[in-house]
Amino acid sequence: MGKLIYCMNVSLDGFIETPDHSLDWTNVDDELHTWFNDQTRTLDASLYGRRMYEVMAGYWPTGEDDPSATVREFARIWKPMPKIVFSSSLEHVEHNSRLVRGDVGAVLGGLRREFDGDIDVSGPNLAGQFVRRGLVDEYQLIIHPVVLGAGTPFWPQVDALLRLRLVETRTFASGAELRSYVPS
Amino acid sequence: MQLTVTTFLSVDGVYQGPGGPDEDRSGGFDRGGWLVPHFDEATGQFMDSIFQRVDAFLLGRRTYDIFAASWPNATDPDDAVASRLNTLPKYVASTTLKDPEWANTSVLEGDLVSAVRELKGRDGRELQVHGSGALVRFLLENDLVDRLNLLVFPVVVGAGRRLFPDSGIATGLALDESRTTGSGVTVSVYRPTGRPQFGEVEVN
Repeated sequence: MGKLIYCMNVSLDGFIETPDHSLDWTNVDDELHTWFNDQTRTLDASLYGRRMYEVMAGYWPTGEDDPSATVREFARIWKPMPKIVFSSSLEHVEHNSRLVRGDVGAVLGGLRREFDGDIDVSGPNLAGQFVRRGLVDEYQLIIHPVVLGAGTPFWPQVDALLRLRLVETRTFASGAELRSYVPS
Repeated sequence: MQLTVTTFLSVDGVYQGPGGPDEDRSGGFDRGGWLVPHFDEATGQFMDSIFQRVDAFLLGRRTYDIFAASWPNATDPDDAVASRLNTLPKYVASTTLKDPEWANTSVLEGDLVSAVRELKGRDGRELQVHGSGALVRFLLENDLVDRLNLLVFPVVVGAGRRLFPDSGIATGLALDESRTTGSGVTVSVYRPTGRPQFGEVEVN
């Protein structure tokens, strides 16, 4: 069975966005974008919360017009990817997406029967529910060299220590660092 | 002297009580000792290399109390960390500490920014801050930190004081060095670069 991967850009102080939801501080240069492309290509499906879906669907359908070949490539990977959107307020979704509601564990169990490979989850509110339930198999943090001072945290509150094992690191020329952990 | 900060952090940024359950229970913290299973030989070697470069220490009040309660009992002359902590000058940023008992300790009084600038202006190698989260935030906000050594241990603590709380000033950094130990501790050496440079919008 594939893994459930929680992967996001994170500031050094552990935030995934500023208080006004800005991502301007992430420096996703060609090298890092290529990593995201390669990582995303390995996935069978992506899980989004509502806001993350709106962010992604607000840009990537037009990404094939981007001047950067790396960005265009991501757009081509993103478009056919099955996307599962957890929302109780959205009425319909597009771009190979479907809406789901209810218990995250039950939904994941259903998806596991459909998808053999790796699935990623992004958006801290949704991912936090999987983290607290012990359902995340790998954490991939792209840690950018900036302290935001405030924002939405990557990590949810957990009820007990969550021991991890570091399985991969990579340093990008921009000073961003990938750290991948699995529960130990 | 260069002002360097060395701090043990969990993956979620907690710095409270790394070394043991009773090291720092303030605020009802009961998850202390989270660092212990991961502190391997390479981590110890990195810390030894840090302590090779120290000429003075700058500590916050809480870290001073924790250190002063234990290090004076470590009298092995071959313990490089203990001998430096016990003999080198220690400066404590505190408005409440009077007559510190630990040898060679002085309390910084008056304007802390001026006092730290004065220390940094002295000859020597490194003025080192260890732990001391509240002090570190103050030093970062006042652009007084020359280097930040973060040792991140592979554990989510989920409670306790964080080095970077939810309200602070934004700071840009450059990554100068990065390594990983066998037990999965990441050692990252950052150089603060003032207020952050915000890049172009990219969605990911």
